[in-house]
Amino acid sequence: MELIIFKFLNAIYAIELAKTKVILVYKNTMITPVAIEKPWILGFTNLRGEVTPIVDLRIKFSKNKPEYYEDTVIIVVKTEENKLIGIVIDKIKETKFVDIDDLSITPDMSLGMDSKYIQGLKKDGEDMISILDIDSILSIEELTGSSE
Amino acid sequence: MSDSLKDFFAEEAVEIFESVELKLIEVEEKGEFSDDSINSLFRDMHTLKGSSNAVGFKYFSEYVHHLETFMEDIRSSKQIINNQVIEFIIDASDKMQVIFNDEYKDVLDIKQFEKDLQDLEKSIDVLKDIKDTEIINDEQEVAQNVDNKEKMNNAFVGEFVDLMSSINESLEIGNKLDEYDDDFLRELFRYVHTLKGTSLFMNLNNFSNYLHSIETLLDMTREKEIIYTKDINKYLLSIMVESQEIADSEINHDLDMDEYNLKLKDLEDNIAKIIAETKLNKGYELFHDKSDIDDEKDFVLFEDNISETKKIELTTRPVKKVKKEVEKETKVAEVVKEHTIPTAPKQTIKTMAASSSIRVGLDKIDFLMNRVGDLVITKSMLFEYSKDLAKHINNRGLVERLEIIDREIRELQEAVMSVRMIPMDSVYQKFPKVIRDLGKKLGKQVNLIYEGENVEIDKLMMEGLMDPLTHIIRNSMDHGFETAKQRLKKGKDASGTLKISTIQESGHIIISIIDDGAGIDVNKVCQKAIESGAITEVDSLIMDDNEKAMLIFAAGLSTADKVSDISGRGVGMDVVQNNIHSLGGYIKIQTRRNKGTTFKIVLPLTLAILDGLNVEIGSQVFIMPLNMILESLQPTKDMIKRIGDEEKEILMLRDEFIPIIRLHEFFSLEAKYEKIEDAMLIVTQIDMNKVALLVDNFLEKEQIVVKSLDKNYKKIDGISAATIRGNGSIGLILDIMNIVDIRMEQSWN
Repeated sequence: MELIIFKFLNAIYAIELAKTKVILVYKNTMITPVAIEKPWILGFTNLRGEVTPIVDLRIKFSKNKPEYYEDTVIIVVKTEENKLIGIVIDKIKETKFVDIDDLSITPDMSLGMDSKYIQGLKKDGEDMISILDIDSILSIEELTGSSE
Repeated sequence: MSDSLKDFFAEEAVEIFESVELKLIEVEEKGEFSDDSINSLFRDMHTLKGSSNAVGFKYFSEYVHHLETFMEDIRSSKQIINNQVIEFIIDASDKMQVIFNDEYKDVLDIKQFEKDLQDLEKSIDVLKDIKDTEIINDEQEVAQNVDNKEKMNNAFVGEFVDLMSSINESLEIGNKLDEYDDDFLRELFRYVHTLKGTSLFMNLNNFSNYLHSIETLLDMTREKEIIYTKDINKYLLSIMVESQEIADSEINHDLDMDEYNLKLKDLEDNIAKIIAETKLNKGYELFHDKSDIDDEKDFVLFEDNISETKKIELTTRPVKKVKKEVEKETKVAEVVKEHTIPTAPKQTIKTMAASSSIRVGLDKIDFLMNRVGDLVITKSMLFEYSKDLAKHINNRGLVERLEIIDREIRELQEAVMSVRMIPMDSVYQKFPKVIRDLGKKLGKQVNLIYEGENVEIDKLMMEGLMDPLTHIIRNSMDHGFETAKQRLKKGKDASGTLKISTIQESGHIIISIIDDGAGIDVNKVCQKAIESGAITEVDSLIMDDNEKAMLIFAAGLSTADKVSDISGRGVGMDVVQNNIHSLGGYIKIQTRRNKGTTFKIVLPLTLAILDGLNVEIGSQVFIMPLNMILESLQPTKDMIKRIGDEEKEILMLRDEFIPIIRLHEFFSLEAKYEKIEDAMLIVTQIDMNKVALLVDNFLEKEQIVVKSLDKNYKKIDGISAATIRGNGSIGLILDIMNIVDIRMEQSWN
């Protein structure tokens, strides 16, 4: 499995590369906000004619106000519900192949976010990479807030 | 067999089912089969059987086969027709659909199927034994037949034209060939044979006779009794023009019989000569070869030919004529053209077929729609760019050209939109069956009248409309109409009338469903609504009857004391309203006790593109659909009245009091202007109520392409959809109805 590895919430996270569609530079992206929605739903952007929502999970999972830098990017993923959704992350590190059999199961304790959002853990040198389960994070229940 | 083929057939099958249903209902109403309906029903069954077998619907095809055989018996008058028979066919075709659906979904219960099949066979056997109880009046039947001939069966026209052109094509190819293989001959024969059959269905008896002679010739070539030569091919090609003429004039009922007989004789003579010639050259040898075998057929043919040959010697003229025609084929075509042009206003088969249609996948049309949508967006980008440019240079020339593009894109867009439009007819088609079935079940007699079947509606819209319409009709059947007895007591006709009409008016489509039943018991509805907490008793005091009737759309409300399997569970009517709202429309009710109820559905013309007004709300710009705006104004201070806690603001406009909704508050945005008199108000109307919406500013009008939010996200309160603006950013379209609904709920709580 190939992963796209990035800095996010002061830790190292990853998303399956196969689920990634496009990477946008945050500061060049025009986002139309929707104040009526959850605070972590930043708004919508036009991705080649597709109305694409952009979410900032840092608002959802952290109390700190998120910062936006030159190298803040948006990873647009395709969920299992076939939705294109952009996720704001701090900084892309690299892409890397990992062995799926090698993944550790997420322990059922606090990792800064609910373990149901984590697909698995992977040791990478001194670092621990948490692989995000985007289908769970961006499910319709999460978006409507009915799971809360 | 591949699934896509099955899907394709399924589509076709559903269409055929619909047409079968429609015809059967017509038959039931009249109580008798016309030749037209027997023939077309037989054909429907035949097609169903053939196609289903070809794509692997084994059981379904077997079932249909029995029905087809039965229809064949009716067609050939072996089977007597009475109400019992009609009833049986209706039931059997219902069953047929069930079997089809099950087999399509791979859930067919084989045991059940075998039982069904046995039942079917048994019923058919029983029906076969029916003695003729009603002797059909011969004269009447003849009159009926004549009448039927008047009604041309359009369904075959397309097939007819296809076959004609296939024959022409084959013959053209034949002209280039030197040798003719079996495939070629078989194909040609088959085309002519089918065409003969089709023309019989179309009541073109003379034309069919004409074809019969050609068919005989081809049959002989096919059977190798004579050799198919280039000369024969050329001859056939030359008479195709003639046969087209015969068909065209027969359709218009102005076939000159003398001329026709002459042509037919010419044809027969020529064919006889061809046969004779070939026989004399080749056939003789053939005869010799077969001389050992006592082939009676050959012998008879041979004898025939001798007499024919004599005839031809006497009349050499037509043969010469044929040769000339072949040589100057193009000239003949020209002459024919000249000949037919003056009679152009007459209907020819080709012009009839031109009005028929082709089948195109919706996805293709959607793709086209999307591309045009992109074009509209690019156009607005260009406009934006030109506006920026105007600050620096004089770009009048550019603006003028852009205006032209604008107009052309609009026309293109309308043209593409019109492809998606389908006549209401196809919506109406489903209802006779619903009404018949429910009428039977409930013991009510209801006549269905519909108007405006030619009004066109967006296919997408139609899909969203089917459920609500069916629901309203079921509801009318169940609760609206009284039984015949009750109706007579009230001094009404024993059978009720349900009228559905569709009109297009000022950018809207208005569908009315009018029944002359008992009307809605508004007090009962109101009572239920109070019980369920949808409204308070105080609310009920200020509502008029029509407003009270609207309460049937409140969720979970049912006025039926008994829950029937048709309606009365209270789910449904709220779905009706929701569905119509989601199509951007609204529904109104007018009801009068014992006089009847009218449901009026008002819909936008299309879902895909709308004219919008950009409005500024705080720091953001939203799009307000232009068709929602009744009027807009900048209020003065004395127009704004406050109630009670000062939070509820009312606009006093002329003699009306209109509640105000501050859109900033709804969207949690900071208003630019604190005072209402600095801002702008837009008055809109939902159902019967007017509402004024407060925005900061009006900006420009814009034509927008609607893009769904659900696709990548979900529904947002107060927003119906999104669009892409000229600068490439996303614009959000206000969902006024939703905003008002939500606000109303909030103020009630």
